[in-house]
Amino acid sequence: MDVQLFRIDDRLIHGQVVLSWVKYLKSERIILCDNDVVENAWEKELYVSCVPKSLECMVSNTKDTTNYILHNITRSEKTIVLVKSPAVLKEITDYGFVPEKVNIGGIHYTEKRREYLPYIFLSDDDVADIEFLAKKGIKMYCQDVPTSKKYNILDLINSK
Amino acid sequence: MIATFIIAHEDLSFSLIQTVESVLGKQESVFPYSNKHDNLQLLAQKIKSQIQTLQAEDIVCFTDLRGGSCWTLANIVRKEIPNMTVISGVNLPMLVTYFNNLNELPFEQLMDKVVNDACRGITIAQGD
Repeated sequence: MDVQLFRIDDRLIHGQVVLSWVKYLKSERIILCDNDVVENAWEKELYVSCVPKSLECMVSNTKDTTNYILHNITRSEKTIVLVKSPAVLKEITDYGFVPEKVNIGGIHYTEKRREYLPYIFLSDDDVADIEFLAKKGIKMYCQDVPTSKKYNILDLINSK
Repeated sequence: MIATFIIAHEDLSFSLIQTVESVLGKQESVFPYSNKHDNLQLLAQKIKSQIQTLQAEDIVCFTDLRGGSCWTLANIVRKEIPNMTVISGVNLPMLVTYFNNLNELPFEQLMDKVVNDACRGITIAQGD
């Protein structure tokens, strides 16, 4: 499968993904990869209920998502993978899939997080995870919607 | 008492309330929220804390895009608040009808009228 967008976004499936990225990339499948949502039938249904019928949508945990990607690597299905944090991406890399490029589309404010962009707030743990992932060779850039400017996350971290 | 929440993108909820009040005058128990900046779990927590300070019989929560993060968040909160109703597609006609009829119509009728008037407010005029 063609992972055309691997995205870290704590809002998972929402307007920016379904209305902007899917249209821009002509995507065929969305994978919402989250160990909590997969266990919660109510939330799972909530996220899936608003995905257009033209898109395949699956919700799976980090292990199943990694296996799915690795087993379908030769299929040409344009796919967006969504995870909520760098920590979840770390889990996926531990299971054996290392994406080349990762889009960071939204990590929002909680206590202990500092602002880097209006849609990017990072804690010390987030920064440590991002630096760990960068050492694995993953290129990570911040961009909320396809028409907006890209920022290299390491440049943002180093400029603080 | 019915408490009203509006959760929307950017500054929309604040602008909507400001606009409604410029037409109908000051409204009571209205709480606007934006999804800008805050993580959704944090925002859910803020909204639940606000609801707990109110002695509301019903909570009505307007959101903008169905399937957007404000709507998802409102529904996650609704799961824990039994007397909460979530309406998507908020617009000005919807809110004008809502506040104009808030203490006059029975709740179910109010909800129907709000949705119907919101749709009726959308028309197309072209040509001569």
